[in-house]
Amino acid sequence: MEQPNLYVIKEISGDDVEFQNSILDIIKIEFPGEVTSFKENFKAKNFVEAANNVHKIKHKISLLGLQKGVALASEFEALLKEGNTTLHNNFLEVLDKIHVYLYD
Amino acid sequence: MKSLSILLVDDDKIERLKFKKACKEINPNNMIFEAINGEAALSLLHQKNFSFDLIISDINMPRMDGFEFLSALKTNVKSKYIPVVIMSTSEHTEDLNKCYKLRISGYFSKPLQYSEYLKKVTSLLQYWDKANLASL
Repeated sequence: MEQPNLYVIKEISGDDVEFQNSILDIIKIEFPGEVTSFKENFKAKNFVEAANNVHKIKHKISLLGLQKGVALASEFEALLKEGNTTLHNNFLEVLDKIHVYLYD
Repeated sequence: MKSLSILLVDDDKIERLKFKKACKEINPNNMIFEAINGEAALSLLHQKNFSFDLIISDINMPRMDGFEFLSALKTNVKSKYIPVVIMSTSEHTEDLNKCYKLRISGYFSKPLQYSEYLKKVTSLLQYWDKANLASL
């Protein structure tokens, strides 16, 4: 099973450690707020807004090297716009994995 | 390649960092101005007393998205001739058509890999550098 990693961020940063840390800091600061916003919109059945939240989070999933996670988020985003929530639990699993990686 | 003055409109902080990094790698003298949405970009355009060589904009942004921004931009005498390139992860034909109807100059789908991204930004800046020279 794929795990979050720094491969993509390191590719962008090259040898620039300061740049790498800047990206990681932004992810750590923004991720919880974006997840909260997604969960609130999902709970309120505002699926179009929730899909927009997934779109934002997807970028961070991609930066953390989760290719399968990005594919899942893309599919979930498209389904949510049609009110289809079947991938919700799978998406939450990806979010949990990132949470553990960033903060534990 | 001469330096370009570019307005980047994107609500994503990391995307702005990445774009600035790429532009500076291509030419350290490139000047990048940033706006977090269409509203902030319009405000910057009205404040500044010089024009930009190029505007790069995302589509999905809060308060004023890329479509609303383009509409406002293209109806303003001062800004209507500034070339706008859309840089987005969206590949929906509907979004693309909507952008071209709003007279964008190009559409740039963001690759996930930075090396590919850098190649695309380089081609983009080289093209607009040549276009600007040709219009002088």
